[in-house]
Amino acid sequence: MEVFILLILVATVVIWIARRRKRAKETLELTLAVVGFEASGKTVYIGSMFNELRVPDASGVFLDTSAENAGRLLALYNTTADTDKKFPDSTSKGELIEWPFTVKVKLATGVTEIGRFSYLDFAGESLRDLYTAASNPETRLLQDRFLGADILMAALDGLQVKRFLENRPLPGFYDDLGTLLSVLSNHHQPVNLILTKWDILEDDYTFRQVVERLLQINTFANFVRSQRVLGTCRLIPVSSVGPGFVQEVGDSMRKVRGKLINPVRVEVPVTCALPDALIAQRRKPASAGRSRLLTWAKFMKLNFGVLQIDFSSVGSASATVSPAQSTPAAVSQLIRYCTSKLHRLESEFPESDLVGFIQQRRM
Amino acid sequence: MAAARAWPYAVTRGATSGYQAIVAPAFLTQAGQAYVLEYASRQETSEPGAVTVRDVVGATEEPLSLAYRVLEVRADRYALGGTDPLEDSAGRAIRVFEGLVLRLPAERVPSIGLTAADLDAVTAATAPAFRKLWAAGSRIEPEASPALSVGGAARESPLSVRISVPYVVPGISAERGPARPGRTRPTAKRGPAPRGRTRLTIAVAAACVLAALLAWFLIKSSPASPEAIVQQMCSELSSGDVNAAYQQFSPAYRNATSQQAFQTTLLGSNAKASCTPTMTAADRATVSLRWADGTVRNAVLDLQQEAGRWQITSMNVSP
Repeated sequence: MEVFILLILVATVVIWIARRRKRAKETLELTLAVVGFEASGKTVYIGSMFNELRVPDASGVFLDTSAENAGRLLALYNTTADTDKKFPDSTSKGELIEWPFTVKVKLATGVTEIGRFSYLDFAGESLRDLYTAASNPETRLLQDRFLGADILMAALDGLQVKRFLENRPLPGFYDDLGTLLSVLSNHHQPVNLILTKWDILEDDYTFRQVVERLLQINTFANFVRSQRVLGTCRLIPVSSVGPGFVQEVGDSMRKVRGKLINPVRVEVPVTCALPDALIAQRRKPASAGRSRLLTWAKFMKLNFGVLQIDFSSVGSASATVSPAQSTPAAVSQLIRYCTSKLHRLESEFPESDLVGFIQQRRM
Repeated sequence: MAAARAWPYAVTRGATSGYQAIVAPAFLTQAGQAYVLEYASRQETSEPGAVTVRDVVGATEEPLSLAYRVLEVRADRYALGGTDPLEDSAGRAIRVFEGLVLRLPAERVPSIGLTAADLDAVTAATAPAFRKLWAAGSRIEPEASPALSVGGAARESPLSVRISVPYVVPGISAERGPARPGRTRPTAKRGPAPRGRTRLTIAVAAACVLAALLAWFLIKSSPASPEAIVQQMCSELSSGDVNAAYQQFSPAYRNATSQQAFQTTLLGSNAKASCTPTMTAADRATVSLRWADGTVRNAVLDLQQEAGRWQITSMNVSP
């Protein structure tokens, strides 16, 4: 019997050590979905985002994917960039695609793989089918994918928003916005909103004006209030093509021949996603031990800084995530990269933190 | 080449509306299955006008396949005025997926001999619905298409078609489709099983294995109790298996007492005797042996645990 007990103890210790070592090496795997209606810019965005992040800057953080996928994504980007060509084809319902990416960090010691995420691109009109058409297996599958995503973001079409600001909203604007927010509301994680086509808005409106007008839509304001419990909901202005690349022709957008593409902030939504998701998980009561994100953060020795859960209407809920001294260097680098992007966004666009903004305005 | 019946269909989008089936066979729309046309029609090649054929598995009981082409269209194709390429509000080309719905397995479609005229008939049949969509600026109800007789034309050369992977309705086994030997049928893409469930399964399996190991170890390795040893010895004497009964004794006892002496002491000249054990202490027992002639022998047994098992270390027999 003693021998048996000894064996069990030894086995337990060996398993514990093995699991610990495995987890220490474990990479983060997340699924990321960007929901948005047709022509909101999801496909163009993914091409520009990959192009922006495929080569590391001083931080050493970059994205990688298979050679085949990289080729397809760069073809998307090149088609977008070529002013003699039309924008890439709209994604049809049958062309749903999940782009797999690997997050890597280049260090003095070599290149370290930190995590993987997949980006779900789909025909935006399928979103409308969730609520307006009879349910079918495809829409149910899509909804499951949204609900199962670790990080959910929504693309708000900048052209549609502009028409709304001009008091001539395009047909279906309010219905579509309601559908979008409804999909997001069913998700258990914090969501960020990507305001696409910022280049056609920024000449005529300040970001604050855009936020204030959007918050005049009751559904939108209520949605932001509902996100307070998760602590964050950002509106991130991005341009997948950059200023002056397109011009409006009636209700359409056309490329300006000879203009150079210069994407703006396309990396920010993805980089905001990790700190926001970590903080939101940390806020959830009794979430420790159940969340993959928190388990990963625990093994990577990430610190959660100032955490205030503020359910009142006064004061902003703030939180930070930072690496500890013993955090692996590559993870530290990634966290610093993400938080620096976040701080820069909040510095340039303080209203981008919608939850903070409505609390500040006591809305 | 034999002609076949087929129904025109088209999936496209307007300048400000998303992809939808604008023309579909009534048997699909009435069954709420027109959506399969939207999801099964995807561009497989950039070659203009190339015809793709694929099975649609799970939408109907009988075989169903699509033969379609993908075109970037111009205004004059639908008599919309001008010759400009049609674009949506984001400046993207308008693609039309137009083709035929056939109640045949895809592998039989090449034998029909579809012609350019067959697909041009689709264009003619779907043009009014396209114009309606373009004018509406929003989703329209799909129009029912009449059946056409396609293929079988001897005068025109048949189109080359590309058979692509089947479209499988999510949640439907690909095996429901028509048999196609030697070809792997892809199923609808599914995500990995939830990690929590996988972990639970592993944990339960590991617990079962551990429990089984524990049970095996306990059964295999636990020393039999003194009572069991004495009972065992009695059974063996009762059945005449003297050697087995002798083996219940410690090596020291067996060194000091031969099996023959052991047998003579307990059984006399008998081969066996009825035996009744009684435990008098945790490590002491008495056994009462009744020979065939009625003679009774009582033996007091002392037991000790040696090398992890209980053994009888001494025996005193009284007449």
